[in-house]
This record gives sequence, C-alpha cells and structure tokens, in this order.
Amino acid sequence: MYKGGLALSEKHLGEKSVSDIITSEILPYLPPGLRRSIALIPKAELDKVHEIRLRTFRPVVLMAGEDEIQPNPPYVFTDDDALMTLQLIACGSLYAFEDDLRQGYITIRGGHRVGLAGRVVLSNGRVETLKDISGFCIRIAHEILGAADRVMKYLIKPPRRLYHTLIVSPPRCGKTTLLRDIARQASCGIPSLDFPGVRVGIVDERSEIAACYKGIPQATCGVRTDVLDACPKADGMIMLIRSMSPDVVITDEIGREEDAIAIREVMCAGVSLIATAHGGSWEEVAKRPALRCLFDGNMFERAIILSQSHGPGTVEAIVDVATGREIASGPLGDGE
Amino acid sequence: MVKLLGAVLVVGSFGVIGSVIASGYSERPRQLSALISGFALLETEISYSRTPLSEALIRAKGQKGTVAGRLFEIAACIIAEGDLSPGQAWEAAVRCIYPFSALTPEDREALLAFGSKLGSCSTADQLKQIALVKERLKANETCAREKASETARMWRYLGLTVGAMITLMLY
Repeated sequence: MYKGGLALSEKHLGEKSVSDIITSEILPYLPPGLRRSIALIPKAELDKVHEIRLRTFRPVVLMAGEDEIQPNPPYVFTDDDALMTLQLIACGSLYAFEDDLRQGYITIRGGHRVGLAGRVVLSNGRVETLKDISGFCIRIAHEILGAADRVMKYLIKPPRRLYHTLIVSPPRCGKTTLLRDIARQASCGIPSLDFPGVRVGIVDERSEIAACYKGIPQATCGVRTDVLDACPKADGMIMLIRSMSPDVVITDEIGREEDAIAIREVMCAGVSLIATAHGGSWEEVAKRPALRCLFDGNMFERAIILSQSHGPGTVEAIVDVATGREIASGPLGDGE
Repeated sequence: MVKLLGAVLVVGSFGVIGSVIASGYSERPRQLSALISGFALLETEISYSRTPLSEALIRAKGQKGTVAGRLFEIAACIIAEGDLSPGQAWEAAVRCIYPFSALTPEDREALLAFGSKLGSCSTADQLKQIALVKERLKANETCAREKASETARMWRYLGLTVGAMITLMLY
C-alpha cells in the first residue's frame, strides 16, 4: 500500500541534445530545401541554437545565445517556403489553430513555440487572425532534468507543501524549463529533502510546459501530474481545483486580470501555486496593473528572479516576499 | 424437357445480366450517399473538436472499402506526408478514386471544388465549404436516384425481354 513519503521516479527517455531535437522535431516542419541546408550545419554549432528565425526573402538565421549562425551557403527563405512552413506547422489545417493565430504563435509537437509575424486582420478592434504570414520564430524547447535542483529547498514548506511562488525574468531566461522541473520534482518527490510527492496540476495554455501531444505529456513532468492542455489559465486553474484536487497548481506567464483573480481563488483554496511572469525584476512585475491585486495582498511567498548573466536559467535571487529578504542570492549558474 | 430447361436458362441469364447492369445504376446514389455521410462526419470533427485535417479525414472515412472511405483515407495519407498542400492532396485523391467509382464528371467537379479552400481557411469558412459540397452532392444524389430507378427498371425488363426474344427465335 502506498503511504505518503514515497518518492516515485518517472520513466523517461533521457535528455536529448539540441541538435537531435532540431533534427527530429523541428526539421520535419520546414521546407525540404531548408531542411537539407540546416542539416549541413555542424552538430556542435546546432547544439547551441535556441531559436530559428525565418523571414521571407531574407537569409535564415539560427540564434545561439547572442550569436547568429547561418547555413553555408546562406539560405534565402522564399514566399513559397513561408506558405509551406505554415502548412506543415498547422498540419494543413489552419482552422484547427485559429485561437493560436489570434495569439500570434502555434506550439508544435515537442512543445516548441513558433511565433508568427504577418498582417493582422481586425474585427471590432480586436485581432481576428493573421494573414500573409512572412516571419517565423521557432523557439526550441529544451527539457533539462534537474534544472530546479538549486531552488527546490527554498520552495518547500514542511512537511508536504510548497510556497506560493512567482518566477520572474525577461524572455529566454529559462522560466518554463525551471517551472517544468519544479513540477517534476514536486510530483515525484525529493528523498534528499524528505519531501513526498504531491499531486500537481498544470494548466498549460500554450502546450509548452508538458508539451502534450493528443493529451499525453511528452515532457517529463512527474508521475502525479495532471495536465489541462491548451486551456486558458484563468478557467483552467479553477477547473483543475474542482476536478483533480491538486496540491500544487502550476501555470506559465500570468499577465491578465482574470489570471490574477483565478490565482487568488487558487491560493485561498489551500492549494500551492507556482507561476511565471515576464519582468526584469520583482518591482517591475509588481507595477503591472493587471497583477497588482496579487502584490497588494502579498499573495506570493517566494519569488525567484532569473537572468541570462551566466547563461539561461541563472538564478539571481530567491526572495522571501513577506520580509523582502533575499534567502538565496546569485548568480546561481550552472557552475554553482 | 431439355428445350424448356434451356429456355428457362436463357431467360434467367439475360434477366441476371439486366439486373447486374441495373444495379450499376443504383451504385452511384449509394456512393454519393456515403460521401454525404462522410462529409457530415468531417463537419462534426472540424466544428466540435477542431481535429487536424488528416486525422479528421481518417475518423470521418466511415466504412472501409467504400468510395468515400478510400477517398478520405488517400487524402489523409497524402496530407500527412506533407509534400502537397491539402488542396492538392484532395485533388490527387479525387483523381485516384474517380476511375474506380460510379461517380460522374459532375460529381467529380463538386468534389474538386471542395478541395480548393481545404485547410487554408477559418472553421466557419471550412464548414461553409462542407455545407456547399454536401448540397451539391445531395442534388446529384436526388437526380441519380430518379435516373437510377427509371434506368434500372428498364434494364431489368430489357434483360428479360431479350432473353424471351432469343428463346422464341431459337424455337
């Protein structure tokens, strides 16, 4: 019989290198000519790539940190390539991605987000859809098991709860990677910290945390984890509490007023909440009008500030929000 | 006795031939009806669960071995390969099944017209396209049924009559 305190491990396939991810999960969505061109880039260079930028009638660029890598010879992305890429990304079914187009991105299998740029079609002053799509920004999601090792001890509220935590950073600093690993560790349990696994509910509006495919998480996010995939955060958090009785609710990139209201509901329901928000610092996030109600009531107990100073995922500080004291200060990079 | 048996055989054989030709005429309305059902299922897949096209077509293909089933299955496979646009894939599938079906050029035109916007428009527009092709196929089906009942009856009678005439001539 299972009793609390048992840490379960999840069977996973192990971490893939970025070049393997690009070859197996990204290239099938690109036109054949571009596939061949990217496949010629040396593996060592591909391993550093975190974004692929495609702009019509301009050379294809792969971003590796602040560096730019180009296929050799350079590949100019044509309008036909743009059409084909859109078709492949949308599986030939634009109607199935209407909401995503309205948001400006489509998440493909593996949890990789493809940002789109083109001409916006408005209806009653609101974005109806995107047309004449001419720019793609493919962000490569990279699962790092153990990314949360350095922070877990600060998030545990003994015996088996987690503090309400907000992870704050500008884009591309590893918020989602950290969040995913927090979900995994909270769900599986951490024997070294004497933390039993708890029920985790993920509201994955953009399918980036769990990278669900047909409802099944492709990322390693824990054995006691339930995922509401492609669900609006505000509705999803309430749905999860009612339907799956989680101990921890996890969601990404809060920012709207309805998110803040739902978060208050979750926190007042005795459920721990861990979320992320865009911002350069805690003060910056606190100034965002839509989130103000969360900060006025000091709803969060811990804040994790991330940066890129020692590469993506560098923990600059972990703050005890009630006292404003830094309980860990960084940078806690990979070399910590 | 042998003559009588021969006469029965001749009349019966021609009757069967007439019936076989007659059943060919009722095949078209059957195929059109299966296609209409397939499109209705596709409509549900698109409107209710926003299933991507290749998967939606597989789910909507209905009975295996029917023209509708083959058309949807072939189109789904070509779309899944990703080398052709959904419109081109649909056109290729229609051209592939057409020679082996009882469909007429006007049915083929209706099916080809459906493919022109396939997968490249909003849900509402996609559903409009499905409604349109269903309407055209329904109109074709009504005509086909009327034609089939008249022509099929004619072929059945013609088979028996020709059989009887040959029997009389042989006597």
